[in-house]
Amino acid sequence: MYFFDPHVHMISRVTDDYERMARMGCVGVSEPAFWAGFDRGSVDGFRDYFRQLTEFEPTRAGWSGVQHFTWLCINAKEAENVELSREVIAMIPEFLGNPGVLGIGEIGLNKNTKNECTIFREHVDLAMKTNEQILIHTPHLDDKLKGTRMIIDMLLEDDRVDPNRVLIDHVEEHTVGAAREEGFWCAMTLYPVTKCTPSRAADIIEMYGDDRIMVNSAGDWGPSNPTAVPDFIMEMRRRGHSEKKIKKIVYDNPVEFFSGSDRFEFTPPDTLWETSRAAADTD
Amino acid sequence: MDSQQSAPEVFDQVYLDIRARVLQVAASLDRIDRSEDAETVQEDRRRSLIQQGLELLCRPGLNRAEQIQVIFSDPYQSGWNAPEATE
Ligand SMILES: [Zn+2]
Repeated sequence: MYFFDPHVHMISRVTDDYERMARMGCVGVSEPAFWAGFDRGSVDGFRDYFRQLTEFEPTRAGWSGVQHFTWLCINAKEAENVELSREVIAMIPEFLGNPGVLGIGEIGLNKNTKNECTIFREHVDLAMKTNEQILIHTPHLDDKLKGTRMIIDMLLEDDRVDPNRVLIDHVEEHTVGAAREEGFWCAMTLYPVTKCTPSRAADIIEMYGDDRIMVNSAGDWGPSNPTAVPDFIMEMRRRGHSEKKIKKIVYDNPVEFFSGSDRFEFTPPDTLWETSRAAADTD
Repeated sequence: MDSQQSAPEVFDQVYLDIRARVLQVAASLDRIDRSEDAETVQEDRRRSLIQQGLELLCRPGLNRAEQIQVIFSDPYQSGWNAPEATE
């Protein structure tokens, strides 16, 4: 089955991971900007990071036949530095015209602090002024319920925000309902220990349905598994769910949500070969 | 509720998994209690969260996972962002 991993930090992974993901059916990834494991010191550090995300990473993904898309922001952990965050937010528009940039993300809260809220609102303002979609990170563990509700409150404060163009990520049993009630898209992250398991993700699908929801690996430089989406596919099959239903969650839904961005120029896998031939012929 | 399997089918599928996890929890709690300073852990707020979670497991209900998540969550106050609200 073809699948999309709608949230995976591929610059932290090796080319072999792309290869393994592709063998398991991965045809596309979307990579939100996030924390590098250390706080970056300057706006130029972010400029180089955004160049890597928009220039080299799509090329590297292409070696395995995976189409790569990205989201730009300064993440919540670094948002404590309000001055640097504002410089980064002012610089992001330099990259918004680049192919494959799907919007602003992953923005959100980490420790639910006042500075994080300030920078979250300023990112949302940038997205509204530039007509971009938004991908949202919600905090983990004890902070998640409060942080997710605060994020939803801030989104609802701004009447320019269309919930249909916002994806709230890392939802779990206690946050999925609130996100869906307000009409947002949501995603579950399959991550060892701290987030959702494939089995609990399948439970949530059985309880809440398969509309406006997707699953991702959020693979990054920490303990994580870039082939977690196939694990979810297997769990759904073991439970007797139809291929159509599974495909909706791992392929159709991400493609539908990403299509809200003009720069989502995705070539569906069945026509990939013809498309690349046609491009080669016109060269 | 969109489950394709009957409860007995699901139970067959998850029985050994649940058994193994209950045993693991029991062994972890034993390990704490047979170690030095076990009393200190009894005072730890996190130990009481675990206790609340275990008690919740014994009650009937359809959303135990959600309720256990809430036990392990910081409190949220609605209206925190109202214009007149201060820190
Ligand atoms: Zn992430």
